[in-house]
Amino acid sequence: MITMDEIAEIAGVSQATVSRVINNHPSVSLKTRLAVMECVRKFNYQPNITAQSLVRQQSFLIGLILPNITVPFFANLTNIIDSESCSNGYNIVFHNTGGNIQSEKEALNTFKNRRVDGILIVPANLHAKHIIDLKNINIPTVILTHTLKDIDSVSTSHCAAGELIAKHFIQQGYRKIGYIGSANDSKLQGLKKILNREGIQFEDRNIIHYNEFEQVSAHTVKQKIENYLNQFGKLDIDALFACNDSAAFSAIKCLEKFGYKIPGNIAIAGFGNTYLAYELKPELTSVTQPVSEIAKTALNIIFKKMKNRDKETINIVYKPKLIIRESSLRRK
Amino acid sequence: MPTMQDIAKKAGVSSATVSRVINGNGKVSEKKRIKIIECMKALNYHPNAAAQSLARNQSFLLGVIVPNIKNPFFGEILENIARTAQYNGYGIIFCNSDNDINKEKKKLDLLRNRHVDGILIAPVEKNSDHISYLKTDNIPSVIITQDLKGFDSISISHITGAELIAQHFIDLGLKKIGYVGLKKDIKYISFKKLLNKFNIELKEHYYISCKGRQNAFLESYYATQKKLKDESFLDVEAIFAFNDLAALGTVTALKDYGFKIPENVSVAGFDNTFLAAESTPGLTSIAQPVDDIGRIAVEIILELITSKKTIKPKNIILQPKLVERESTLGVNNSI
Repeated sequence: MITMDEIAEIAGVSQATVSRVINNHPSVSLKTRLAVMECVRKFNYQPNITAQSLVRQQSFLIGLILPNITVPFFANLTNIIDSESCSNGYNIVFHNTGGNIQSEKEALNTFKNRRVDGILIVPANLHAKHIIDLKNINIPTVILTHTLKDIDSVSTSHCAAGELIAKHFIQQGYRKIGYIGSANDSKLQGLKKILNREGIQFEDRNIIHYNEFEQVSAHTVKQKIENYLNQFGKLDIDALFACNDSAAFSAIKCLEKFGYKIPGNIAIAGFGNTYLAYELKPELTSVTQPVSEIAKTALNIIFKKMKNRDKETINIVYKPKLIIRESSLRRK
Repeated sequence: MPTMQDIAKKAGVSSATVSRVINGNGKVSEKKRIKIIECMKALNYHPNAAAQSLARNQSFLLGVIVPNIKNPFFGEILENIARTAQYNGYGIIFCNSDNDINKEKKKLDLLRNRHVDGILIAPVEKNSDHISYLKTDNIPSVIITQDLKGFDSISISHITGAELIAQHFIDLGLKKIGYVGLKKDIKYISFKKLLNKFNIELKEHYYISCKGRQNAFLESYYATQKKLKDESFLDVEAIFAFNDLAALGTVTALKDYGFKIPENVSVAGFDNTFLAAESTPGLTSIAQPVDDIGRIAVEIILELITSKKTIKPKNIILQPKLVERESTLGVNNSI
């Protein structure tokens, strides 16, 4: 690639002059400017952003750390973050952790080394030391989809999501409710809270259980349901809430294989309202997160904190919305 | 952020000594080295990768551009690219072109300005100028998911994929065959060609046009719905769609109309994304070895970056596989 020095040599001017032309400094004569720009175009010279970033102490890079880019919600989020960053002159440095906290820790270190201007992270484990330590990081950092004390965050209330599903299930006349996911998930807390209030007992054995930060994938859901059915013989429930849409679909597929009809025998609802929910059959009742607002708000927090390093923590929690589709409707 | 000078001052050494410790070259006594590392920890010092990259003329960054990250096919490829790159100490700058050639050009310029060490791109169109400039300007690049002469590329034979579906339909004894997608697509061309060999014509009234740039599912859903108003379409026996999303759009429209899949119509997709496995009925599709694409693409680019010699461009074409599921159980073969 051609350098600024070479352009200067070809145009017969000093390197400082080329720099002034590129940075639109007024002190260059029109004739020189035209000559330099001709060389710039002819040799397709591209200014080195890395060099510029050293001078300006700004890298125009935003670090993005996700557990799994193939999850439709995260793909969606990445798409919006990329387009919003680019239109503001930033690029995304992307890191996929696969849910591995060591990989996440390394990512944070490289991001510091690369002097990214901001970090957006969906942590693999909220209790990891390097996540808690983010409150002391001197790079504007926003936690996505979770809330953590003393660190900026943008999320959706998972507790409210559980409440919405509980109310919907009750309204449809379901009383025996099951759950797929972690027992510590606030979606389950929300679900239980409403059931409790309405005097409906939630049986803990109706949880297809995941450890708190275990990846909930299509494959593991199938396995766990099969294990459950082998152990208990049947699922004694009439409605099931899965902690994400793909888990809900894996459950549907698996339960159908065991002869259950959805929603005839078991109603199912998911979380995320990803395109899975409306593109597959049966169409899935799900809870939607405002993905575009989450992405934009998180970036705006970074841009704001870059300019103005105030210490005040910003925690934005969006309210989710229930989208009712056929998978959870009471058959008449 | 603390600088190298701050460390030098605190440790009572020169910044050249600090540099030697960071870069692991030159002689530094063990005592000094430990002292310097302690100071780095105490001050929470991180070497400036941007400065290092300028000095070494290497950024340890790879640029990746894909047309649509929301398509799980590209999500899975990016995941594998990231994994292999991270494993080798490289970072990824990710860009989505939204299937828009102008956006692609802009983002490619941005990546070039950043002096990334190499570029992996799934181009919107193969023959655009900004792609060929990568070659003229000697920027290590690998074209992914497509095959491009003069470039290193890693792709999957769409020809074989389309032929596998054609052969599958023929084996099932299906004759009234349709296609969802664009006619300029190599999948359409090879599909049609193989059918022709068996004297089966891909008739216009079974063809459903679908660009699939933004939302292939909805586009093919509506296009199929429209087609269903056309009497001559209704006796269609099998449909091949250019990707899984489009296939599912067609399946949904056919089901809404009252058709049973596969009893009335067999439908096959392409890409074998997890959607194909999760949908009901399970969708017959063409499996592309996505894990291999991402990994091999990174391996090639690292070779291009690190090799001092010019390497002759390689065009690796992987062979896809037919994955049969419920959506194409032929009329005669049904249980």
